[in-house]
Amino acid sequence: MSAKVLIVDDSAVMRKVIIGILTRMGVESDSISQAEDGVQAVKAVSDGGNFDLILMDWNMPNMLGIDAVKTIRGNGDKTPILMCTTEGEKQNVVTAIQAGANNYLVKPFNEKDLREKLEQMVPGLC
Amino acid sequence: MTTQAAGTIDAELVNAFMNATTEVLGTMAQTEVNFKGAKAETDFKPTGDISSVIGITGQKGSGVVMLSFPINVASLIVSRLLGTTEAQVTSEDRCDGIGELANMISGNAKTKMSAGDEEPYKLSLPSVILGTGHSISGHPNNQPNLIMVFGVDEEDFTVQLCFKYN
Repeated sequence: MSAKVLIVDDSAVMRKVIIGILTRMGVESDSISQAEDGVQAVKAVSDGGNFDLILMDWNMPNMLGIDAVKTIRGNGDKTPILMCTTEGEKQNVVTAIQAGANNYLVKPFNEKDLREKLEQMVPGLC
Repeated sequence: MTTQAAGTIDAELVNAFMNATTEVLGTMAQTEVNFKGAKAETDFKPTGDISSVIGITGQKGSGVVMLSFPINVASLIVSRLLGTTEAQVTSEDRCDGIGELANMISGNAKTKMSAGDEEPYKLSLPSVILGTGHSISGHPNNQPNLIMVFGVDEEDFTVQLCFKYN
């Protein structure tokens, strides 16, 4: 059975780009959920999404990705989270890891970059 | 306070945005862009049919970044982002994709600009303006505007930056 993945990004185009990569990796499209901001992400997780992986943007309306990470971890959820963001400064990487993110990928990225991160985080993702 | 006079160019800013634009479009959209030059102007005017605008603030200063594209160049780049044909790109895709490009280019540039700073620059969410001959009211910071021109497949788009140092 395919892994369940939650993509959190306010850009529909970016979500489509990531979905394209995931499906080429063999993740079934039915196993991919989407959220447009941190509020939707927190709700998707707390509603029992049972995700195997969350890809989290940083700059989004309503609730930033970093605040969503803190909330998700504060609720006791341990789903692996990959921050996927334009925020490339070391300070932000440290902040995200301290908040509970498991790994970090800076935009722009290519397909190989994302595949490598995902395979590191969730071996046998597909 | 450091200001950029009309007609003068801040090389640090040009390099940050030139490299960011080249890197983002090359990596995410497999599109090679040709940097054609930079100039400082007093006007802050869109040059294309679709523009995305994003704010940038930090301890060294603040400003506004604007990307402006002819509609066919916007469609071409977004189609390459998505791995589809230009005909398959919807108006929503085009607007969203150009906004995300502004986010990625400004984010990449601000990382370069933040080197050595205690606090990284922060970005606003992008806004997208669509329509032939559209304009933007007002002039951010009342500062000279740095206009960088890039070529893609024999057409041009611009990245503009109106930035004021503290």
